[in-house]
Amino acid sequence: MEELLIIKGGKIFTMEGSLLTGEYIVIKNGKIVDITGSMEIPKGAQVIDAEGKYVYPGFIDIHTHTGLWEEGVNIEGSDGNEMVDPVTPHVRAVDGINFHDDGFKEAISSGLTTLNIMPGSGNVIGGQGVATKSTGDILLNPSGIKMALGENPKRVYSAQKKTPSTRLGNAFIMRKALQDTLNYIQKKKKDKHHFDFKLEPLVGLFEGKYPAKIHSHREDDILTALRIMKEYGIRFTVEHSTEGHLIADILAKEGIPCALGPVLTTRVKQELKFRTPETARIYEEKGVLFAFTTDFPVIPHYGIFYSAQMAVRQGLSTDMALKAMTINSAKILGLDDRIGSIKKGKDADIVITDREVLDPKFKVLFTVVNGKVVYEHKSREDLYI
Amino acid sequence: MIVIKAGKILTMRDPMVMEGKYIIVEDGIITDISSAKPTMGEFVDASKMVVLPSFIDPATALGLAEEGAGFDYYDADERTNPSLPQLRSIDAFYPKDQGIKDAARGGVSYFVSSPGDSAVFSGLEGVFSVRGNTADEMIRKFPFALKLNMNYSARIRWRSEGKFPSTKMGILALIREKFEKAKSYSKKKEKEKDLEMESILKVLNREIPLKVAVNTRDEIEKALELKRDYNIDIILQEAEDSFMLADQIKKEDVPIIVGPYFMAGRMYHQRHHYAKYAFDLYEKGILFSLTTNHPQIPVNYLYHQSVLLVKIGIPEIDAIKTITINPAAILGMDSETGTVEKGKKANLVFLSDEIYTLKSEIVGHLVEGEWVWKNF
Repeated sequence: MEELLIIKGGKIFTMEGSLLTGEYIVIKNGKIVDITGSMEIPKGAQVIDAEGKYVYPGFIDIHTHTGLWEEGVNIEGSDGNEMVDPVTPHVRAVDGINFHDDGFKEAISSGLTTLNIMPGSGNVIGGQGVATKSTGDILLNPSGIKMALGENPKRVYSAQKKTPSTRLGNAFIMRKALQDTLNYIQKKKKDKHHFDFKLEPLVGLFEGKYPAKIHSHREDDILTALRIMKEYGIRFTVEHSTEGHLIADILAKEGIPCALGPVLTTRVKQELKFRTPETARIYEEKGVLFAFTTDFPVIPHYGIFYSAQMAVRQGLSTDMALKAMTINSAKILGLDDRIGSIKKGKDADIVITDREVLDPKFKVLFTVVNGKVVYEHKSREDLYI
Repeated sequence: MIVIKAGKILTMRDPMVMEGKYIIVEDGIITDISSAKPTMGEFVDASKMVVLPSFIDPATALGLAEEGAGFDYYDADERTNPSLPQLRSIDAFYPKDQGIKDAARGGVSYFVSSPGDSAVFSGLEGVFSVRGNTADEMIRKFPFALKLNMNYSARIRWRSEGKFPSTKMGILALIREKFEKAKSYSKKKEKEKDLEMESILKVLNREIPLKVAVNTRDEIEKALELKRDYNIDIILQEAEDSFMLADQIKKEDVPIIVGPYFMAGRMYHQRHHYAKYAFDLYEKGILFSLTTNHPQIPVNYLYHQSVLLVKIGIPEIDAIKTITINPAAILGMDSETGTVEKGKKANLVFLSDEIYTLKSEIVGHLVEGEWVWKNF
């Protein structure tokens, strides 16, 4: 028998431009099959009464390291950066993730149903990211190629007395890898048996299959990314975009999506000096497509809601604050046909809360992923806070 | 004289809530909370606001680890010797640290600046105010406590250096050795002044408490043992496993500094580092306060972070106490700050709306009668 789940009542933030109240969300085989004002509930259907509650599409974090740096584990569970070579496009996040890590439980209990998990930023080219449900159901692999500019790679490799030890070196290493790939593509045209395991994942960038996802905080690093990617005709996103507000006009004009965050940390690195909670508002004003991120485990997954609240206090609209954790995030991942809003035909990823998620006191009551209730709040013990 | 018309005052004492009162401030002190409006003085209309005591962060590296300056300016941790009780946080304190401005805007009036977490005895902590231009103008209590690191981070540091003490046994041996040495030092009639011993003696003479960073249950038990063996005052910090020993900690009347909680990336010894475990401390009536451990998380998020205590079931007023009167008591400064009360310092936070709501922002902050942040 097909399993039927019905969410009844509540204030539904569809993220499709409408706010519904008292509707029924009908879920079958993991998909939303109907949203209707009235219905007779079939016998045997599982019903969640959301009357007086708030209903959202599952929240999305487009930049995390969940399961790569495990919770409550020391070096044994630290698999985020392959820091022995600045160019490692052939390593895959999915091969290093411990899907049984508590980080996923924290994500699910916090209402985050999709995570884009990527290697860290120790390398100029860090490897392949994966977009996955927090339950471990993989959506897209690879979701992009993680790259990094700025302090991190130069700090890692200057300590090893290797290139790159400056921003000059970062750009050179990035450009060289792309040029090598172009040369490799030419060679492959002449000799179809020619194969380079390490460069092969970068071919997808030139074919437009997935974007480069470039860690850059400072304005000049973001613009270096833009310069190099334009040169090679590669689609990319800016990850963190700490100083993005200084060049929001350019980001909007060039149509470059930005991951914003994490904002709940101090300016530990010099390149974070000009961070401000106003960046999100400026992105909204200038029309930059952006989504919030926690960079988990830099901050907890639930920190995405506090990041959004801080931005709202600085003038970001509440509507955009929600978009930047749902539909914008889905668009940036290229997964808006499946996730990011409550819409007939989309994956049944739904979060039900006791208050609006922009209320600092809200709690997640239910998390539904692919039509299955994967979290229900019963007591304090269930919380990962 | 400043006359503040306050819509609502959350006093953090009896009566907890006062409405429609005037707070009178003279020479930095709250001289009256009255129903009648005085006829003179600078008038501040906070009739639509919530006024509460300023927040206090009992564990930061403000001034020692400058915001946005990079690693070359990280002066919070002298990692070269396991016994450095003679270090003094006031000597490396940079008063223009952006983090201190953030603290003022975030409603934090007083904060403890602590010298590091690598040395076992890492030095003397001080209580600073956000008000003032120089370290000497900002210091409010020095020394406040001697910092002792019995936790994971200390022994792993010395283990990686291949130096003593690299185990829990080693750490305890070092502590007891220094304590015994200080005892005999104090008995010597004629002596050259030894700065290391002088710092430790302050603890043994109960002039200042020992602030002990611990993680696991056994480390907490050892800290309590030191307290009994040497008849000293201790404050526990980090203390993730303290919920397992709540009865004993309450019985021995030991205060705890918990947090920060806006964090992930826990190591093994931090596997219980969740706000939900603070509920047991609350339930047992243990005196505990919350910290950001800035720069671990930004000091200006002390208040925002405290909502997590509400989410785990602690009443809102009691959550506010963990960042006001409780840390004031732990710092031994509750006779001068931590509540909105006649005779106390005019350290007041002005919120634009009810506590713990999206719309409520810190729009004003008065410290010792002077505005350190005003945006209304």
